[in-house]
Amino acid sequence: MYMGTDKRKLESKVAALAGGDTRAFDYIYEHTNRAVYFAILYIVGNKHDAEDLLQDTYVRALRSLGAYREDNFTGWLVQMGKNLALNHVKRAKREVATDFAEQSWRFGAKEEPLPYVYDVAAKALTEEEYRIVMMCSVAGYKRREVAAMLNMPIGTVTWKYNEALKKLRAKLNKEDI
Amino acid sequence: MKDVEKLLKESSADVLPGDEVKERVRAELGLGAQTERRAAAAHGGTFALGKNTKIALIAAALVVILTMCVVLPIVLDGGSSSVPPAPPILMSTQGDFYAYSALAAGSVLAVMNSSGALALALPSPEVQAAIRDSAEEYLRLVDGLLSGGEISHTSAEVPQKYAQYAYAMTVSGTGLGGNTLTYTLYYNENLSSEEIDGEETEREYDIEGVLSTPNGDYAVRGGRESESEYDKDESEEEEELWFNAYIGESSYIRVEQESERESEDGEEELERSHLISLIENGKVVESTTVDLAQEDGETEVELTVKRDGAVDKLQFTRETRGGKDILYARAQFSAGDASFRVYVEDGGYRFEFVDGDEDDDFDDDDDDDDDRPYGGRH
Repeated sequence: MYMGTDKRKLESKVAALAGGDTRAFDYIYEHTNRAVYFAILYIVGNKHDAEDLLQDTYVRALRSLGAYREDNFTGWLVQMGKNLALNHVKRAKREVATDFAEQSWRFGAKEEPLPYVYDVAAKALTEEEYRIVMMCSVAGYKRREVAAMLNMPIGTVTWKYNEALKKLRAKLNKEDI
Repeated sequence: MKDVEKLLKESSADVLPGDEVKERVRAELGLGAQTERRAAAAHGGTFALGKNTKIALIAAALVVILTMCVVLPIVLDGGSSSVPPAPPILMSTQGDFYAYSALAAGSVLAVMNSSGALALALPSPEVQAAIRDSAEEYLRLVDGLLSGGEISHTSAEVPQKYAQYAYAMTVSGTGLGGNTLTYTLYYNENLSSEEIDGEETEREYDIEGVLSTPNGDYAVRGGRESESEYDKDESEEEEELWFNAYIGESSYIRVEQESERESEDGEEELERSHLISLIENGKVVESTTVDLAQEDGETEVELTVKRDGAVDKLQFTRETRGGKDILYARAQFSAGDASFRVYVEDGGYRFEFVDGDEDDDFDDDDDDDDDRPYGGRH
């Protein structure tokens, strides 16, 4: 994980990519992908779908860079990823379960479950709390980087982070984990 | 109950998105080929390498990355550059570097198994042979590349051909099969971002250059980030370094290193990881990860190799007994799982597989002194 996301630098890289400098891609991806990923993961709840949707998000976003007019590229990507994830979940609910889906383990296609603590986190925390915990604890972002991405004061991020951890700890204790 | 943050971090590798997602995005957008062509053209890059050369380059890349961590700050501190001196990093002296290298070579390692629950039956002779073959390769990789005695690096003169680069560094090491590898990296490092906020300092550098080898020159592009935070009772330092060495039109070696050191109330925790990935035609075909963690005087080392859809893991410790070096290892290979001892003899490795009962020796449960690594034998 690359630390030290600088908003101005990110925006300049986005402008460079939009202008045809494909070397900017690495920087943009490495500085944004985990924020987008956890927003998606919270909604879909499994790694395989979250990775596919992460890919779709970047492909769609970067193909429509000309439409980007905001000054918060991470936020723009996150919103796009969430929209794709919500559509995915709606579509999945409409689909009728098949024998194959129910017995996917027989065909080696069963999705690996997320570690239990992540499942509990997704259920116990709000989306905002979940994203803050994942970005600070798992993705390796600094508090001020998370604050910049979420357009929130650092103190608020720290307070929400600590509260979310308390909530998660209480839930895990209740379940005797 | 365990600390929640620790619980989350312990299984983060199972949750975080894989590198292949990025490569798929790159491939779908057609970015890889464009990027690499441009980089190669800019630096006279050459294409079409044999498998052995690619493997050798992976080895070279690892050597280079380990070395750069040490050499770059030293070079920059030399004074001629306009770039500000780098902040303190984890391996700020060559002594630290060699200490780490020797450590990773297995000379002072402790068992790192966290579960201690793996009780294995003695594998069949066929499985033993398969494990032995893989383990030998990996041991040579670690021994050859991380052994302090076998890596050397010097600051070199920049010849006219590479006059656009401010720095040159020659690196020598031993690669797979014992062959000596010598490469020169010509590079520029530019400070791209700096933030100083009270006790916290953060700097970012862009690295661009050429890795010159007997087989040709390869464009190198990457970056470095350093963060440090000092308080009265605690400090935290993080260093990240990454670059791509382009070996083909849409193929390159990706090298990433992360290191983190935290100290609080006199206790220190160190984590380092090195990831070397071989990307061919935009797809990750092989990756090697070396993870090292030190906490409370214990050192853990794990080598993970992913290729052809298979994952091999090797955890090891080494100690000297009766004047002989013995390596204790636990392997979770695609060929099978096993625990074994490796005797370093006559420049080679002799394997002795152990069964489930003896495997207790490999347990390392912090809460049980009787379960200390090999403690029961003394």
